[in-house]
Amino acid sequence: MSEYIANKVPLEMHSAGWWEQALADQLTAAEERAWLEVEALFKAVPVPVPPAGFADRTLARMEDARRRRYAVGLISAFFLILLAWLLLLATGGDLLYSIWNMGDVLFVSRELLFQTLMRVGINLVAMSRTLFPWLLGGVVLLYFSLMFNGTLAATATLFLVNKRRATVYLK
Amino acid sequence: MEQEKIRAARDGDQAAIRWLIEAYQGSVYALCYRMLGTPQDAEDAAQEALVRGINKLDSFDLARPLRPWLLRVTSNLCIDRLRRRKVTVSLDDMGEDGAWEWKAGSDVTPEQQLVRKEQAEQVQELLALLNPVDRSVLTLFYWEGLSYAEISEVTALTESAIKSRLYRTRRVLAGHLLEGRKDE
Repeated sequence: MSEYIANKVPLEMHSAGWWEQALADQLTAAEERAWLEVEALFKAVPVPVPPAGFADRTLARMEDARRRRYAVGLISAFFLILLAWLLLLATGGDLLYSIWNMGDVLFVSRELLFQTLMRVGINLVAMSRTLFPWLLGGVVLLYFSLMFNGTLAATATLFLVNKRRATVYLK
Repeated sequence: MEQEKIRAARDGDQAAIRWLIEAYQGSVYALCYRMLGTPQDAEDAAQEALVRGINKLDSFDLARPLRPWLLRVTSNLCIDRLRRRKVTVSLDDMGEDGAWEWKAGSDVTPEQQLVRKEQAEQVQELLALLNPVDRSVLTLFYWEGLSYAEISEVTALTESAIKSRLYRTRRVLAGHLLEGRKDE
């Protein structure tokens, strides 16, 4: 075909004219007639139409696909987290155990200290009523010094409240 | 109007999604039917193409028309299926004994239905001679009424390649018809 086209009148290859020229002479008369029959058949045959309820079934399928994707995502995330935990345990299990124990010890010792202080205070109060205000003051002081953040917050609050009051009075 | 529906469908609006499906189901189903040849395969593929298309709407350029883009998704899907497919036999409209059956309650006479059935079979037989890409090009040109430029957008082929394929297709189909006559 390329040799044939090369001998034809030169036309721009992408033009419709080139194609018409190239194709018109390439089909034999019999082929041309046969092709016209095929084309007529193409035109005669009805266009297929989707069956009834097609849109509903497509929407249902879309919803199923969405649910399946969601479920797969959820299961994947679960297994991913599980895998990460297993890896962490396998590689740094001892370290994690030590950190856990340290936290436990800190928590228990704070509880023990607090309980001991309370017992001592209550016993002293029971022994002598005159010491009560001093003991109460001592316990509060000790508690605040142990709970530094709480003391700081309380002091800051008191400071801000007083400052606000002073501002209001000045106005 | 269409762009609003596409935006709404991207946000998961069910009414907009239904609107898009109803607007394009005809084109998509017809292409699938011509490509795959049976109503069962066509319905399954058309549903999958519409689901894929709507799920991929985020990547669609709103400045362009939706139909060629959707037909591209459909055509690619059908070509993939045809390449994977093994030989199948259509049992559509056949009775238990495998013979064709007239559908009661239709507007056309049994004779007319039979002629249409034969024509449809003949068309599918001719289409089956073509490779998946040529089949897609021919279907888009003759039944979807797309221009060369639109077919180029759908198939990612150049316009010259499309014209060349259409020419080759015509020759193959005409040759098949002539050979059939010689055998008779």
